[in-house]
Amino acid sequence: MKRQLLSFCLVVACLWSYASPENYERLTKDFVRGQAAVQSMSVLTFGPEGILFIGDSKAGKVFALDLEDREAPAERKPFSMEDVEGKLAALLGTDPRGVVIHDLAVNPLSQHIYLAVSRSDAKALGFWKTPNDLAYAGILLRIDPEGNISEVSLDNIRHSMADVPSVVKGGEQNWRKSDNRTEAITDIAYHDGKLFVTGLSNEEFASALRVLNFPFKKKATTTTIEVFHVAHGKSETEAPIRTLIPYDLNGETYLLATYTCTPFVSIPLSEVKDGQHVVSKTLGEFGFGNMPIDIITYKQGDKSYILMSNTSKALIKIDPEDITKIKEGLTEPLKDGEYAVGLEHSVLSRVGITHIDNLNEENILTLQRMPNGDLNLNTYPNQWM
Amino acid sequence: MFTVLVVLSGGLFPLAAQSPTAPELVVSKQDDQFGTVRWVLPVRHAPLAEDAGPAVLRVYTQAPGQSLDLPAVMGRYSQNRDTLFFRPRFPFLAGRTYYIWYVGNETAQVIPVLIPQSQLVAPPTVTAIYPSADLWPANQLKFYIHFDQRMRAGYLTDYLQLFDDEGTEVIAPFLDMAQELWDPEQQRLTVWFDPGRIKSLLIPNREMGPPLRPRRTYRLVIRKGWPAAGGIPLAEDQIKVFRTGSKDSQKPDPATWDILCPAAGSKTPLRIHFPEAMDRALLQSGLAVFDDQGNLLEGEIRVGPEEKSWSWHPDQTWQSGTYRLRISTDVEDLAGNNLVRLFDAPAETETGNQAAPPYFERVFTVR
Repeated sequence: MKRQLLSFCLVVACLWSYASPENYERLTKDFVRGQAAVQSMSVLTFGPEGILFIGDSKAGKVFALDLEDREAPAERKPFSMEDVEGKLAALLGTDPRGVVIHDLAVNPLSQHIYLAVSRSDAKALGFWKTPNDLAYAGILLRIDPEGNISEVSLDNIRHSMADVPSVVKGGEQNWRKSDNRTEAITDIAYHDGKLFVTGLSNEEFASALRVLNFPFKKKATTTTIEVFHVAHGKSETEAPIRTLIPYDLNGETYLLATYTCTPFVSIPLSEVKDGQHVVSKTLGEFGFGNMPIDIITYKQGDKSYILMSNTSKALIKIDPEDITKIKEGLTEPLKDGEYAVGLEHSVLSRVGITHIDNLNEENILTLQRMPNGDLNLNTYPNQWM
Repeated sequence: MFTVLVVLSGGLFPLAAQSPTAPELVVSKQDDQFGTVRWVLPVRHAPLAEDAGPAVLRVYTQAPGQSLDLPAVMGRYSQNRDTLFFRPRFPFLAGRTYYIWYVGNETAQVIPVLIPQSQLVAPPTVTAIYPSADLWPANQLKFYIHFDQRMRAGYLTDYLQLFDDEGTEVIAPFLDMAQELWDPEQQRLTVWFDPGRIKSLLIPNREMGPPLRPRRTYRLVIRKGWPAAGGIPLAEDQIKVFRTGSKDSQKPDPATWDILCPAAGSKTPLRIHFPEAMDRALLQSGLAVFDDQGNLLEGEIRVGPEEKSWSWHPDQTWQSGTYRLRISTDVEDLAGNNLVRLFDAPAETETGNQAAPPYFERVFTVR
């Protein structure tokens, strides 16, 4: 009985710790107020307590910002905004082809939407050209539930930062004819006091996973990652992970990650050690000619699912139970005529979606190109996904 | 001096004698062509409460009313006595019409303002191209284009062309990078010839040959239309004609440099003559003068004609004694050969383990 009560208390404490004044004080006590010298908002993600993490490829740093945006909304309702590019263009004094959205993240506490934006030439976006290849995002915008858009100034903000170790040098060109440095940080994900940072390092095996403790203190660790790429028929160490998510399966934490041309892999967190080279398990290959953009989890009732957005495919839905069924990773190249192999997955009837995030427990927010060409923020209830 | 060009003030809307003045847009080159809206506030507003700027003055990209849900242009308000200023977050764009909405009287009014293409704000010009000499080695690695104002990035491939002596355009001579290599002011662009075509063992070199061939005449054309940050295009083609010599496969050797030592008690510059033209940007950053105790001395660097000489103008008068000219091993000639490595060196020597010193020194004496 006592033990049960203890467990119950622990569960409550865990839930409470996600948003509590004590936790907030502890996590932000080393923050300093001043200018956050962000050079490029390459990727955004929220941690606990409404702390926004910014991965900055140009500076080779990760910033943690206290947005002082922790108030829950009056009601957790869906959000939609038509023609986001048109509105951003009006704000930035240009036309809709002159704005590019680099990333999107929803503050889980306030349900405010944050966008990393640049005023650059969207005409230069191409099949393999991502926003970060074109320009450095220098504007952080907040959209409130009423649809008001405002800039979050980084001139005087509580923040801390950490260097990402051994980031790839600039000045070298990759196969997409972009500077390698734009892939120094391709994604960041927070899990249980740790920030996982993917991208290219200057080491022999360039594709790297760095682990930073948060609050930022100890030196970051770097692990290099190898993937067997079914569509390319070979092991690769140079291609960066495009997006990742930490996920608990059968009591063990895995990093689920995906790459250009869409191999989907798992790496047990227990194998991620400083200076080690890890060969990931290729669970499936979801199709060449595509770059994954975002990956999230969501619930339908009590059951969890994984959702991926892509440059050239509709949303992909994965049942984590199917991951546990895969004992051996893929090690054979695609055969003639094959396209997607391995892990079971559904391709949903939701096209034109670049960025996704959980708007709240019941809804998923998407940035979606509509049939009329407008770029909209659309909300879909979890049960429709 | 700071010149303010009044682009457009009221006038479209007749103002009654007792009416307050209308806001106006001022744009100046010194202001980085941002443009600022300036409004001498009517008595009823002055002094304006802090944060009240947006309540009385806003700028829109479309006439408000046409599309009411579009937000106003983002920017910063400031006040100097009875004058309200609005500076947009990003420069106003040339050729665009903006709408200044303001509450002067009881009702709000709107003034459309066309940002001129070129009449009032000067178009950008190319101030220099380096190497400035007319003879480039056949394996020239990179060159610099200097503009007189901030330019828009992303237009290199559209506005830069190279023609050979038969007038045929050279196909893809330059490294095509999405992130162009601009300095922080975005006034100097570094353009690389495709290194893959210069390095003799690489596939692009074997398939397409080097971008430049020896002993030819080339015409580099910077085409009119290249837009400045504010949107105003380069008005005229800028043409640089150069000849190519043979391939430069020699590392620069500081031991062969002529050093002209100044006299003690003078502020005569220290002068160095190079046997060949050098990369200009690296001459600005790669050489420094130290005293015998190893203290860095303050002075001004000037690069001589055709980048074949370098001078250093000391802040203090020379004392007799021994000095050290420290030369970073990164200093390059025009072919990208630095003091320790040939640009087109075979891979095995390039990754050789012998540790290169970070710099070389030439000792000189002032008497």
